Amino acid sequence: MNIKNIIYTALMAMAMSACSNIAEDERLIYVEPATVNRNVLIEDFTGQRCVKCPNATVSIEQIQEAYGSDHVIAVAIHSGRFGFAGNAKYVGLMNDECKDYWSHWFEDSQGQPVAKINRGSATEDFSNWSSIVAEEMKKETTVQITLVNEIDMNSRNLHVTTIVNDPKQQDGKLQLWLVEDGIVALQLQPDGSSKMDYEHNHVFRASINSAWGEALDFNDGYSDHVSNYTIPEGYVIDNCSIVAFVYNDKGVEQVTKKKIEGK
Amino acid sequence: MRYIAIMVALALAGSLFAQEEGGKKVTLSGSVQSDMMIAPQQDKAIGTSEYDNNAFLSNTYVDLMMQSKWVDAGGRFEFNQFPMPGYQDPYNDFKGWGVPNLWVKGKFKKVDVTLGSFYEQFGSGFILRSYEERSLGIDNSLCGAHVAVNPAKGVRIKALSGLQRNYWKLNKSLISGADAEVALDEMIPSMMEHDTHLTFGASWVNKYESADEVVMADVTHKLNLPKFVNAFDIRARLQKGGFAALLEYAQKSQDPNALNSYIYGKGHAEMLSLSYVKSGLSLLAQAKRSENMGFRSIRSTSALSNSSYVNHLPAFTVDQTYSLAALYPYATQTEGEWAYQASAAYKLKGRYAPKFKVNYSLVTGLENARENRNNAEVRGTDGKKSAFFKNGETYYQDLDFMYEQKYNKQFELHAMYMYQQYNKSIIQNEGGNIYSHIFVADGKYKFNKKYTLRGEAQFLYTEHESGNWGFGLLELSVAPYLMFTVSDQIGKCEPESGVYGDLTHYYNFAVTGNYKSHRLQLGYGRTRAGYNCNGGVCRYIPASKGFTVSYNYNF
Repeated sequence: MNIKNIIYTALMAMAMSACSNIAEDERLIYVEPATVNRNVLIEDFTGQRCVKCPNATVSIEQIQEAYGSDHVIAVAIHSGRFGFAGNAKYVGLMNDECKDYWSHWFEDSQGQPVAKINRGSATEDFSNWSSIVAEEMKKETTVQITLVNEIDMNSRNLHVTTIVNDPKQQDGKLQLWLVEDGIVALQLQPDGSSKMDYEHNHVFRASINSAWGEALDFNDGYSDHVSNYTIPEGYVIDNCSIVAFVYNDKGVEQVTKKKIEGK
Repeated sequence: MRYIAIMVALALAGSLFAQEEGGKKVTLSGSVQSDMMIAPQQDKAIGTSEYDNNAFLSNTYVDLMMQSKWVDAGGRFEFNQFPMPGYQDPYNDFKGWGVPNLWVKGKFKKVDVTLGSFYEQFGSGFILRSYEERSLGIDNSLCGAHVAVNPAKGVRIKALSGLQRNYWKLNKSLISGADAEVALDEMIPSMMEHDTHLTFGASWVNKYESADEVVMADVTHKLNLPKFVNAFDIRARLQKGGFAALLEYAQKSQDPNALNSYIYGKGHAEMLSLSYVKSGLSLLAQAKRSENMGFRSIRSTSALSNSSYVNHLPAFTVDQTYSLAALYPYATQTEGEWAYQASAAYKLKGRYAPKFKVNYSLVTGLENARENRNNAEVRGTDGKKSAFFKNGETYYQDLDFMYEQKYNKQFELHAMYMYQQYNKSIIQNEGGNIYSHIFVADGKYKFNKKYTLRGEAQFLYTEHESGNWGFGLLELSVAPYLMFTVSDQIGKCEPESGVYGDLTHYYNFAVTGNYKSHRLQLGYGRTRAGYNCNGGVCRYIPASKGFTVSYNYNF
């Protein structure tokens, strides 16, 4: 701000002091929903002992309702100061991989909830996640992911075939994650109370192809990947899905999610 | 920018030194303060961070001030490039070095004009308080212009405008304001003759911030944000003999921000304070109600940051100095609270007579104010309203009984019992209520002119899972230069929030030397993770271990 602007603004401030009220019917401005040019990944670093986190989950659900859960894919990574690893009495959703992801991106003093949207900057203000998602969604991408998964329900062995198609053959990595919906476990609420029968969805369970994925290796625009993983006992297979995303230094280029299909 | 500021500061210093008017010299004063940690160590048992080998951490401040008959000037150099543990975090951009504070003040007959950095408080600070508090890493000074006028006896008027300091930058919003105080007793001699002092005050503060920022109310609507936020304050202060009363009211216009979930309801605060002092007896009773009075120069500043506050809401809880009494300090809740405080102190007559003090503090929430916190559903509305006189959940209370007595020339004793309720779920977002009984005994014995020994013993009892705590300290003073201190605090370690481990010793050893205006302290030990609070504003301190050096010099 230069001096002239400061003086002008100070005089305007005094003159406008009586005019700063905004009537109730003038507080909201309509924003056109974004055109979906790519899917968006929300890595929601949440915690069962985080009182603000249920409200962040509501925000995610609203975004998914507006754009479709096929286009906005959320993964809840239970971690940080408010993550809970569980004890003899209560189920915890924070595992060692979650802790490693947290340590990679954040300092110990980071508050929660905090999200990385398409691996962009970390953002805590969950009320603004929808505008960030909209901006990411508008960006064009040449990357497409085809995901096929099969599971043997007896042995719990999961076989995942992923085909990444990118005519530009950009450098990047393919990451495969196992997520689970419908986990009933405790969650602190905004009023400080504990809800013991809270339903947790899209919970990060494990990385299938190593913590940071595998490098793309294109042949005429296609990069083929095969992964095998045994789903641990205790995970409800019918509630499990695979999240597959391609990322590089610029962020997440494309993401997709598919339910596990038994044979 | 910082190099230009340094050169201007040096030029100013040089020009002022060259001036002499009527034989009166320019006086130079200042201070150096440096707190250092050398080679901090990782200690997994208490949950410290990892550090590079031979790391050096320091918060260093050098203040200089030059005074003359007509012009004062000053500045501060800060070196916080490698800050002490806890000062730099995702919310507080504390790290950096330079000259963030530079000012010059012209003193004319009835007018003072300050250009550059300045601090100011209107009334109790409900609508404006810019101040520096190094222990919290807070410096929200304004940079601009400040004018103070005494147009007539008993009348004081101030006007100001500037940009607020936010660590190493200035916030892109303009803070302007004016304040007027009229001391009737200075205008009506008979009032002064009857030892009656009556002052009226009124203040106004305006914040201008661009409304271009996108804040979504929902997926398809963004908020229409106000560019101007106005706040007003009126007060009356009466003092007659030993009796004093202060009544104050403040109001803030629509100010949707990150602290109040972007609601459009107005904020207001009310305070009544009564006190009485007479020969050995002092009494205090005060009450304050605040609702939606969090006021920041940047609306989107995280609730976890200590920066960018325009105002300050005083806490009615005592800032305790004994470590276990300060284990669970209260932090003011900006969405709204009722706060009450009553205290009485009495000292019997006589050089070796005892003094007794009792203090009670209570802070409760408002009926529905908590629903305006972290709640996306109220965004864009006026927020949930609360009935004026209805108290909500207890946030904090304590009842302290204190006794102190100097028995003779050699020995004096301080003792305290405190009952405390600390609502950790509200103040730290988890943990339930902690009810504690705290016992303190602090004795000092002077052997002779050279040697004095002070010992402290503290015990905190609670049935909360955080467990009991103990503290012991011995301090030997060797007059006039040296002091040796050893202490140990024992309790359950909390390496992760809400997870309590084994009993852990937090030991500390220190040697302090004083020589004229110099003070040097060398120490080694462990510091427990926790909160350091001052006036209701708190900073999280992570656990640390290592050698510390602290140097102070005043001239």
